[in-house]
Formats: sequence, structure tokens, C-alpha cells
Amino acid sequence: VLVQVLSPLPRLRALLQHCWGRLERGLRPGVFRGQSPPCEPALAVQGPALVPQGINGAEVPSLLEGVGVMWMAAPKQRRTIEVNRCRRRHPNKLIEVKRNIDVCPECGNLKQKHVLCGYCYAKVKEETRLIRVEIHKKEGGPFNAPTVETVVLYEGEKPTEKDEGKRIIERVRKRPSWFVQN
Amino acid sequence: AGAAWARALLGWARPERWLLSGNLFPLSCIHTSTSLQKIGKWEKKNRIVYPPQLPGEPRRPAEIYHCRREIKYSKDKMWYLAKLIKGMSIDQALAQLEFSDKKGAKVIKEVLLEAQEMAVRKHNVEFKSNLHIAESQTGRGHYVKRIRCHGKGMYGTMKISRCHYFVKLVEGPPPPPEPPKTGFDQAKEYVQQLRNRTLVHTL
Repeated sequence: VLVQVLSPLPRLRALLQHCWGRLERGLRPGVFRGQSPPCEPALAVQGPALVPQGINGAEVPSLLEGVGVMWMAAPKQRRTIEVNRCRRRHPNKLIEVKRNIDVCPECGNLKQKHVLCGYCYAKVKEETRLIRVEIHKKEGGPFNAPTVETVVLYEGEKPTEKDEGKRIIERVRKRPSWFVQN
Repeated sequence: AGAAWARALLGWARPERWLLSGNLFPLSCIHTSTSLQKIGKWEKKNRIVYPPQLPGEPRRPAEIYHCRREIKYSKDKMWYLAKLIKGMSIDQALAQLEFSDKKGAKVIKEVLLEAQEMAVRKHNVEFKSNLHIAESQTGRGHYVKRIRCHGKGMYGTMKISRCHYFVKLVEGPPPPPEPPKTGFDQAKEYVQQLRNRTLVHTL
């Protein structure tokens, strides 16, 4: 293949012709003594990759791994901050104002309409825990629960006729207003 | 001569920002920070002292600035809560935050209660319910990078984010919400813009 290089600069043209001449003749091994011969390919072919394998080996998957890597969805453009803000500040992403908050008539704290008042519930829970401590003290161990009912009596209260066969638990405090006696 | 020089220097240095109270001698207020840590701009806003108002002026509403730094929460997630309570009265804001499921709601509630107490004690606010939230914002705190282990020996860097929360309480009932812009208002504005056009660089 003869390539005609016509460049406006005569020096460049002369250089290119000299190089081409060298390539055509081929370099004599005797030129470079004591050095390794230059690694010039005698024939270079420009074409598609002959071996269907990537450099890492992970770019082109074999059919066993499945067709998933090359055809994954990926963003094409960076989302601008304006677009991001439109999405993040859309009304459906903002927190809604709750309209079901009321005042508990017992303690005056806030409560949701369909939920028990948190303060009152905590109060009752604490009293129940203390009653259970008294029960534990009376029973003295697991598996000792009696087969009769239990009645809780506070200070200054006597068991009535209805509480004949029942187990009595004493609590050392005044009866709380919310714990109505039968 | 030394006193005059000091007075001139303080006059240049805007004395209303340095005088904490009228009883203290001005020169002793220069070293106000207790430690070498930088005091943020939001905290300094509480220190401005306005000159006394003239008899005819309307009463200036009290402004209370409060913030909390380095909250272990994301600033984007905290922003939603800040946006929720912007413009509400303090009671309504506390009610909304109490029943919100978010982690930042608890923190913001504490900040609001602290600010309310500060307002009553130090900033001469008469009724603690007569406050509304004028501004509520979040800021980015210090981030820290850590290694997060994935499967198959892979590692990624995760960032542990922190945020600041700033709130400004103003005395008085909350301002009424702006009515949404109607088409008629927009049309009126457009016509006004057309009428405002003039010729420039001419006689």
C-alpha cells in the first residue's frame, strides 16, 4: 500500500517519507547492538476485538450469568437541584397537619381522639405494677396463683360481704380517684 | 484622653451589640465568651439591645432566638418538621410535634420548651402561649465518614450526618396565612407590568 502524503511543509513531508521508507524496508537488526530490538509491530490490524472478553472479565458476561449487566437502567443526566427540590418539597411529601388532637378531660394533657391519654395510661400502669409487686410478695414464687378472685383494698377499707372467698391485696395508700370500688 | 479614646472606639464598634446591661461598665464586656469555642451567629442574635422606644411608637414584639447544635439526625428529614411548624403558634406546634412519629420531633419539642422558658424568664414575655414561630430552619452539622461492610468483602463509605436546628419565637398571635393567589390577581399583576413599561435611554 503506497500512501501519498502531500503536506504543505516540505520538512514534514521529507520526515514522513523517510519514516515510510524505513517502514517499507524494515529495520535491520544490526542497527541496535546491545539494545533490545524496538517493539514495532510489522503488521497492525484495526478491527473488532477478536476475543470476546473484557479487560477485567466482568464487562462482558457469559450467557450463564444472564443478560442483566449491560442492560441495567442508569440515570442519563444529573438531576439538577431545582428538579430535586420540586420532588422533595412536593405537598405529598410534606408532613400533614394533624387535626385529631384534643385535651384529656381527666388530666388536661393532649391526647389523640382515638388513643388513650398517655399520662393517664402511665399513671394506671405504675399503680398496676405496684399491685403486682404486692401480689408477688404474697405468693412468694411462681405457680402459686390461687383459684379465687383478687380484691385490692386501700387504706381504711374493710372487706365487704361480697369479698368473702376472695384473695385480698393490701395497698398502703389512699384509694386513687380513678379506681372505683365496687 | 484614654477614656475619650476608649469611648470613640466603642462608638465605632456599635455599642448596642456589646452592652449587655446598662449597669456594667462598657470595657468589661469585651471578653463575653466563656471558652475558646466559637459562639454561633444565631446565639449572638439574642444579645442585641435596641434603644428605648419613643412614646408614640407601636410596641416592638419580643424576639427570642434559640438553637441546638449537632443533633444526630439528617438535615433533610429535620427540614420537613421545621416546615411543618413554621408560622404556627407555639401551642399548636408542640401538639403537632408530640404526636409526630419522627425522631427529630422530640428534639424540636425540647428546643421549643427551652425557648419558651427563656422567653418568660429573660426576655420579658408576659404570656408563654402568646408566642408564635416566625422562623424555623435546619443547618448542616459536622459529618463523619465511616466504613460500611457489604457482602463478599466489599466496603463502602457511609457518612454519619448531624444537623443544627434554629428557631425564632416572636411575641403575639401567629400571622394569618396568605390567601392563595387567584387568577384574577395574576392577571392584574400582568396588566400592571405591561403598563409599567417605559422607554429607556431616550429623551
